[in-house]
Amino acid sequence: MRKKLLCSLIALVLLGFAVPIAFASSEEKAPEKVVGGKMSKYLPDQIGEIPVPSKRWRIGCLEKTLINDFWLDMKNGYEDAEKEYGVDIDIYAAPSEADILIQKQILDDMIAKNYDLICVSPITDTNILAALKTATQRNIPIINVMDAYISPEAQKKHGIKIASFVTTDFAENSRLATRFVAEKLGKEGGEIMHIMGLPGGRAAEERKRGYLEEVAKYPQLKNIGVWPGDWDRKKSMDIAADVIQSHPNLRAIIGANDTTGLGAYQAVKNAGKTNQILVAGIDAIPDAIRSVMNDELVCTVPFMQYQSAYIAIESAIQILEGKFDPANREIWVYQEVWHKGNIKDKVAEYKEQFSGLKDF
Amino acid sequence: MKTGYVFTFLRKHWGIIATLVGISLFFGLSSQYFFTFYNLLNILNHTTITLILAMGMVFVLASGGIDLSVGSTLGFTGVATALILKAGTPPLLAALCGIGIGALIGAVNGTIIAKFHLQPFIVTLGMLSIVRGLALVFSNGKPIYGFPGIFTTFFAGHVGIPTNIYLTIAIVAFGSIVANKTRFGLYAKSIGGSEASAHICGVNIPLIVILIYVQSGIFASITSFIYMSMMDAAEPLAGLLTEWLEAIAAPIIGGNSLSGGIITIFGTIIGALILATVRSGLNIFGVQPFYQQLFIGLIIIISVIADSIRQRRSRLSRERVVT
Amino acid sequence: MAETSLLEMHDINKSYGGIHALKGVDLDLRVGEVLGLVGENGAGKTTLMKILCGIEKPDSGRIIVGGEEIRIHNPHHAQELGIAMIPQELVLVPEMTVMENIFLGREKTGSVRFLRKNVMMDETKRLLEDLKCSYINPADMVGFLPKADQQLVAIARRILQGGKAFIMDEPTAALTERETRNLFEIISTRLCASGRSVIFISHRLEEVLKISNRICVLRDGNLITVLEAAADMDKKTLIFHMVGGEIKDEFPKIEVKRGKEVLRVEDVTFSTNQGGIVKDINFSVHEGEVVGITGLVGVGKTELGQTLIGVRDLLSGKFFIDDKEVAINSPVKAVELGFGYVSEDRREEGLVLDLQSLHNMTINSLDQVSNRFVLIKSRENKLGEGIAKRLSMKKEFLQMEAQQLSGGNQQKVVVIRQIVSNSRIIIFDEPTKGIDVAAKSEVSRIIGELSREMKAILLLSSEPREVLGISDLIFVLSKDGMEGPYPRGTLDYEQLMAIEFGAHKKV
Repeated sequence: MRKKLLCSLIALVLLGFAVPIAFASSEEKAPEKVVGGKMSKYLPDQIGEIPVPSKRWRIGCLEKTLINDFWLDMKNGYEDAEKEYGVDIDIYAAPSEADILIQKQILDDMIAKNYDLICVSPITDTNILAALKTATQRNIPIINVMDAYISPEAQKKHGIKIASFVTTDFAENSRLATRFVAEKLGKEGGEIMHIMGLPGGRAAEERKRGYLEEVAKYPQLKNIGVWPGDWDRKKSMDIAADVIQSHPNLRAIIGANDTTGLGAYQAVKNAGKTNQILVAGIDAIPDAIRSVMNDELVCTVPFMQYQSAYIAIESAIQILEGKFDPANREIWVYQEVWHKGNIKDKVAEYKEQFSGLKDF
Repeated sequence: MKTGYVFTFLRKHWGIIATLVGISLFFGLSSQYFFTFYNLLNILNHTTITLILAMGMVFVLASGGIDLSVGSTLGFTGVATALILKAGTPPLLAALCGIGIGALIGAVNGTIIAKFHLQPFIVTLGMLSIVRGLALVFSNGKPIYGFPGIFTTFFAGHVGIPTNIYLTIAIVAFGSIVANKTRFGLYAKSIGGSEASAHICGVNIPLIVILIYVQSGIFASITSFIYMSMMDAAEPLAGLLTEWLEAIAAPIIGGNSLSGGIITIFGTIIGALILATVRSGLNIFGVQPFYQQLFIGLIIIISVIADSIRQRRSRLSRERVVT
Repeated sequence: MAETSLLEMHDINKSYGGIHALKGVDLDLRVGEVLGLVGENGAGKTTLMKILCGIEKPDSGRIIVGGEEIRIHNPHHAQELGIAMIPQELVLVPEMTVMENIFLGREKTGSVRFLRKNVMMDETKRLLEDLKCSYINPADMVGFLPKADQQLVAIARRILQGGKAFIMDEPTAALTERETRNLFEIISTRLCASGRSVIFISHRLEEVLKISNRICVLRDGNLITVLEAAADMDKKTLIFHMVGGEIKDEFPKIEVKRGKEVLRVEDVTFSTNQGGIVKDINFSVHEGEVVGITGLVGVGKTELGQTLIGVRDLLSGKFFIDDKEVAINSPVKAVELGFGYVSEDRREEGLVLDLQSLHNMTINSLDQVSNRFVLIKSRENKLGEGIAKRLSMKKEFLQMEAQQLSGGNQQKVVVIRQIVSNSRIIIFDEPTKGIDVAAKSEVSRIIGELSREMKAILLLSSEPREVLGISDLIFVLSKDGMEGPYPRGTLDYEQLMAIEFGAHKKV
């Protein structure tokens, strides 16, 4: 029985060598005429000029999944950059964020396709290390776009070379939110708290770090603590309600994301302290934007998934054309606070980048 | 005699062999990247996890049962072995502990099914949840990193080809011997084929059923070693869905029956290869992940339909007119 | 006793819920003999054999095997004692090979515990050769063998397991004449000649007469007689002993003048569960008429009913309803055409056990008790009251959940359902099987009520008294085909049995 298996496998392999010969060199396309070199669309100062591609580079992009707006926005970012710069992009994704093995296998298959460069958003810090090692061995440049981060130590240990890491800075999200709230409270300051996400996760821990760092800069602010809200609206509401009881002078709550913030705001509203306590969110989900427009949440900080993807392609072209500045091994996407004062303009400005803004 | 054997063998399996060759040719003709040494090796590599799990599953299926808990067992034994490794236990001992845990989970499954005459579907569904819960509890929901190099090299290293392929070949050979050369294999089939017959012939049905699930648990734990070595991390969510679904699908595609009585190791190998080939081919083809799910689902359903037609046909021939 | 006995059963009693299935039965099986066991349906043959095989335990009585009194604990124990049952429904693993089946549980292994297939293969070949069936390939899958060969495999397995007393329950039911002859030769030259004994249970009396050294006749749980030598055995005597003469009037008949023809069946051919084929069935049923089709168990009555309601494939032939040809390819279609069906297995198919009996009665005819969307309780209750009044039943009966009812009452519910429904042709498959005498006559009274409503009724029953009692026309289905029609009153019980058992020349 094993013998038969071996025979059929050998037959398969032989077949495999026969076919590519027939098909070799059929797919090379001549580089099309494309628009001239231009400055990076979103980070001109940092990234600088994007050269005209000398050929239609083939770039494979592996996302975590495609099942929510976040990842679709990212896909749009890749595809808009594809149109803008004249490269060929294929998008891949695992069926769900739990399919860590499948994501690795997809990357294995992408490597088989000999892309000129691969952009990856790993589901965990380690799930695609083995495949990335193969990519490095085959001299395929890799750009790590957002989320799980292949640290320099991990790169060294597994023989992986990451050309560039493009991301929105989680810590900066909460720094900006905290800074905005601090300035809003002015000299008077007061008690402030943070409801974090699910402890252990990168986004949650980083945003907690950003909050703590920023609060430390303002002597008039008194951090009364960080509670885990697990990204859950109800849980965040309960926490906020308890803290409002025990700290009657609470002035501000920084939510780890909009869901958390909206939960906390509900508690503030129930306690009738909307005039006293400011609540900030992060991510700019449609619910939060409406809430900011209605003067409920004081601000939110959008997460720049679209721009991250777009910029990743810009860097990719620089890398492939040999015009990449090694100083840009880590690229932090620009971000800003959306508040009552600017939110209408921002919604109009970013409509293209966020699927969630279509309804506004 | 010898050629006769080859002939009957081909006649029995021509359907899936043709399917595999057809699928391979289709993808090979559509993309220059498909028939490369690297990609074919990739497909074999991707087959390993499904195939080892399936080696346990074929015996479960043969006995007329089903084991939904292998994915969770994979996750939990991975986490447990990782914790044991991190505690400084020598790799070999840690692996044995992991195998013991897998066997224990299987033994619980088997004992409940055999002693209380419960539906394997329900029992293993419950176990799926319990064991996944344990994995999350023990790991705090976070991956566990950093194992000795010798462990990861043994289970997912590279000696000419990935080491997990060698390991899989060894396990498949083992499964084939157990299925064809031992009483255990026969009894597994007889329980699924006709429990009454096994009973009156004095087969110790509870013992065999327990052993079947123990074996399934052991293979799940070996799979977890490969899994954690590939990832360099023990993920509490490893084997959440796709892995165990394919471990059931591969034997069914290969001609094992959901209603038991049949073991075909060769078919299972081809079934696993078909799944891996389709996945890889669709990736290389550039098909969106959602459509991939759809294709895989279609293949599974088609093979289940084929299974039921096969059963009906054999039942008809059993009722063949004799007057 | 002059000859040595292999096993003896003394004064065996067994009752199920007050009904005596066996009353002090004695039986002895001698070394190297074939003991025929006959009796009509329900005479106690099966119960007696179940006790011998350890499936049932007797209420009282002694069993002696090889000179020692023994309590048989379970089937496995019986097997160890050398009692080898070969049931009508063969217990083999269809997916495994002949060799694997024969050696199941007794495999030969080598030093490393691997199976020694060659050794087993050789032994299987020798065993099959011994049974004069070396044409069976030990490597073939049992599921693909003809029934006769499967039977030989089952016998071979029992021989290998050390069987001494072989119990064969209707072994020839699915065999051709040639296969039967072959089996008989194996029984006499291979089994009995080597000191094994056979208990041969069959409805085919000529076969019993031919193969048996002695014949036991059971009737109503009593051992009537043991006929010793071949000389005083012929079919007539056997039937006389089986029937016993007296017929009770348990099945009241309601006389109805019949109306026009509703159903006609022409040259219908279908297959049976045993793998046989029933050919060229012709009959018709009129309004208000009860047509009874009887015959031995397994002869194809149930299958005829299934064919009529589209559950079983029609191999050839035609159905006419109101003289128009119709195709019945599914039960849904059958219901549309006005068929109602009361299956033999009321618990499995007929009743929803958790529902009240009233709901069970109206479940087929919900359009009568509901408007488009909802059930109307009052309408349902009214309907129930009407039924209760007409059939003089207690109202509480209607409120009880079906599972609280006795078997007889459950059966009544299923039958009453047909009164309520709009079906025009109602098929009853063994409507009185397994229910007590009072319930039997009650059920047949309700069937009479149905015919009064000018419904066409087809009664499939292996209970001769029931068929004789309430049918207007009687057909007898046997392995030789269907005989009849015999109008009411032209047949008596003995004649009917004679036709059933094939001892009768066509009129």
